[in-house]
Amino acid sequence: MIVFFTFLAGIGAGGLGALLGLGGGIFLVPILNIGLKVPLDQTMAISLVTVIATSNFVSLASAGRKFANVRLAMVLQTVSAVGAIAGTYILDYITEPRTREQIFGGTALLVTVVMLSRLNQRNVLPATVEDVGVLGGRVEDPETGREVSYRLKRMPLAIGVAGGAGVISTLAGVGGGVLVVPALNAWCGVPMRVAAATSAVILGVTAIPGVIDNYARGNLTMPALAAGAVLGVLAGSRAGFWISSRVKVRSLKILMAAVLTIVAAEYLFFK
Amino acid sequence: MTPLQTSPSHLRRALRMVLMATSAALAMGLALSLIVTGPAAPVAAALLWTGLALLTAIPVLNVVGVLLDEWRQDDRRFAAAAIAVLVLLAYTTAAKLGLVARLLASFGRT
Repeated sequence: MIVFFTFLAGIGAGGLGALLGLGGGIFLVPILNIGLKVPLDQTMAISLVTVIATSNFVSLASAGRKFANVRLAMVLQTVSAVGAIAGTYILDYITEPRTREQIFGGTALLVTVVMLSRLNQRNVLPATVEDVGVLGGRVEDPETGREVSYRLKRMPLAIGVAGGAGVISTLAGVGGGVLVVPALNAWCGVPMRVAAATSAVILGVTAIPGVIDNYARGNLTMPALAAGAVLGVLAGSRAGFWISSRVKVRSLKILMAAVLTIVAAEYLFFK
Repeated sequence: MTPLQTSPSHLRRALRMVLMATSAALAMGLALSLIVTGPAAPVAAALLWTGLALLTAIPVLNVVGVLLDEWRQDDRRFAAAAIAVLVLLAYTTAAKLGLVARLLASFGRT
């Protein structure tokens, strides 16, 4: 029965993640841990597996391939992989389960703040540039049908954020897209859809050290639950992408920010 | 056009097939694990672990694809970045699964 509920949780988390432009792990962890009483370590391991599944889905889907900037992804995932590996060694020093709960609570709070600060974010950059540079690109804006070109700005910032996302991904068992997407879009000049697709490509590789580390620590002992979550997240992501092009998600973002605030408070203060 | 679109289409197709095989292995393993007990149970577990292993391998294969593509285009900077990612993933796999320790121990015995 728990596998069935995990599958449903995966659908919900994947759907919400796709609607809100997140990976879904931030929703999956509390549903499994608080709702279904799966231990936090196991939950985070399962969540990281679903991050890889979402990444695979986005990077192999035609829309994802159209928008992802693979060269930028390749450079940033080198750094994020280093961050993720560093995270696995930091975990050696985190012996108290309570600390990981607090890390997750802090991450949920961060996601809430970022989500609320980007309620009216549009998907395109207004300006176009002629010389896109080595890591820039040109994409067609689906809303206007016009070509939008972009040039990467503030590369050191993108590198720093990618490294931080790698560490957080391993420690909190989530994707880290909540850091990478806003940073690329708001500060580095990358259009929203390109930032989201590129982030998805990056995070698949970033989650691998965390998954292997969790497997080595004996946190990935329930393959049926992981499979249920993966299949649910894949189905939910597909549904979420379909719905996202047909609805306005502003009010959903506010609702989910409220839910995540409660989740963050639960992990930070009440568990 | 983004750089990703330059990837060879046959590799894309192959990766999509691996993703489909992954989903099939996970779905079959899950269904079997729910309905089968006794001697057939290890088959379900094997399918589930195979599915999870394939799932984890897809991003790595994607990086290999980018490496081949950049190498073919003679852009060694991005090929080097892809190699760096592969080396990091190989290192973490070997270190975390104890392969390095086992290798060193086997050298010690000989």
